[in-house]
Amino acid sequence: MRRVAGVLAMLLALVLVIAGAATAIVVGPDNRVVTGPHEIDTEAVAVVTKPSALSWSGPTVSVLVEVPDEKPVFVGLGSAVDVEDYLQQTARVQVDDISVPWKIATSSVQGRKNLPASPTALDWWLADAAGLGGASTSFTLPNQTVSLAILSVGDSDLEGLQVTAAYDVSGGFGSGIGLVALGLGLAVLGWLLVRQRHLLQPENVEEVVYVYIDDDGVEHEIDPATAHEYEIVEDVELTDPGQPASRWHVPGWMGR
Amino acid sequence: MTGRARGAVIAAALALVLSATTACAVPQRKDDLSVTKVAAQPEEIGQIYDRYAGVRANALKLLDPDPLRTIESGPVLAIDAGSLQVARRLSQTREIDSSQDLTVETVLAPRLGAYPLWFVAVVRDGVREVIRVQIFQRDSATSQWEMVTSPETLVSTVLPSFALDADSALEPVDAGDADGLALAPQAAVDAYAAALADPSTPGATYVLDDSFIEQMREAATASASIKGVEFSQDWGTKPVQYALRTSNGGALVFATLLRQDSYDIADGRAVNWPEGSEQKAFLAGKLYTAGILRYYHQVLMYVPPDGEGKPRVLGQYGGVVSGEGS
Repeated sequence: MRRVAGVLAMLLALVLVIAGAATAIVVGPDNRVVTGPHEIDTEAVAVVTKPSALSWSGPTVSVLVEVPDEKPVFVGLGSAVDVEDYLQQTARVQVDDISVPWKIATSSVQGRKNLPASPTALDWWLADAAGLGGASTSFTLPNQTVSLAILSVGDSDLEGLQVTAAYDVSGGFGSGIGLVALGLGLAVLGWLLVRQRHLLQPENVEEVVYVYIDDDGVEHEIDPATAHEYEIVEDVELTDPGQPASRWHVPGWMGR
Repeated sequence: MTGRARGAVIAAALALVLSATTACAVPQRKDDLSVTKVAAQPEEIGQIYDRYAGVRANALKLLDPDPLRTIESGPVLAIDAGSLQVARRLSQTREIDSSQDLTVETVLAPRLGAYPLWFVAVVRDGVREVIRVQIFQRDSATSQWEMVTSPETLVSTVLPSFALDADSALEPVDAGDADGLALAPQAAVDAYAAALADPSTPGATYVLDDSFIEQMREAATASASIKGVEFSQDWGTKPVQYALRTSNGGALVFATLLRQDSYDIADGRAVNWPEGSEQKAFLAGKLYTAGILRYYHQVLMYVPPDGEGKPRVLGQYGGVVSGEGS
């Protein structure tokens, strides 16, 4: 039973070590998984995620958007209700699906070639940033349904848009290392459990018996001190399954 | 296994691992991806109301309705603009109190799936000693919050408590939904307007003869008693946009009633309105042939649960919005 438990513990330990090491390697000491820059081919003024595309909550995500020629650009996260109403009549690239770390499916939505109002004038963004040539914002994905919008500002468009995303996993690296340590500890425990079976059994004690054989061929057991006075002529090792091994030393008659 | 499924497995494994070892933020698949939001959060509502109160204070101080156009819309703007027009005329004869003391007591918002978004603010007006039950609305993602209705109740009036969902959001009731109610909100408001127009109409029996109905009938009787003037009064309703479930299963309905007072002057006679009256403000000079005054009355109606009484009005806010005469 202990042997089975030990083996299971070591298997679990293996999983933990692999998972912990993988987590630590992927996340890195800065607790961040970065992907990009990725180009999004568009000449529209808006790139926006479909409400169902951001289907996770909890992690902190940083998004850096860059456009060439110092064009003004905006990136913002808003409730899907607000973003949908804002962009409902605007031609845009819609990101229908996102697979982590970065695989997107997009579709084009026809509409007007301009925004109904400057995004920087709106007060309902949950997180936003704007800049010339690039903008970066960071946010924790909330439980409500949200959309991420990348928008051109003024008369420009998003041609040449590149997006870099970073997923912050707070404490991820430490967790990975912790898992490795936990796995190693579990491995040691498992090994001890497996080994315990042998440790609990009687120790293999080598029993040495000294035997003197007289001229008539009769064996006489003698003590070690007496035996040292004789020459050992034969060394016989006897084993009996289930019994400790016995070593027989047969001193020859040397005379006194 | 598809890439999506593989990603989900990896994410789930990562989530399991992280949740088992640390207290860090763990990605979780959202249970509900419906496109809805609670119209506004309390801290946001506080800022909206502060802006409203500031602009309103300036409008009152200057007796100028123009600033109100940035914070109000619809019938309430018409009522307030008319009120300021009357006040400006009154100011020529007496001093107007333009002070205000507004304290927001409760703010609540429903969960909505599309614009217009709106929320309710229950505000105590310390100057007029009334409770204002106001609704602010945002028509689109690019527009400002504006107050659209503001019925007033006496401080002593006990308002039914609102029903709230798991997110502490208000529960709207469809205007045509009579489920569990004495009457559907729109039907109750229509019956109320019918009772105001003609007490003998069969629909009048569906609503309670409350103090507002009595007050309006008294005013109509007084106008009809002017010698040489044939007076008539008509009532109508606007479609009900806002109705909220109360915790006892009833509904609070915000409705706008339209009232038109018509005066036909007999030949050879003239009517001169008292100085400072709303008629004087809108119907300048004497009236020789005919005149019409149009009013909006925003009412807060309580529709009780089915079998627990008749709909009744708890409060109102109204005034003249336009007039013409010769």
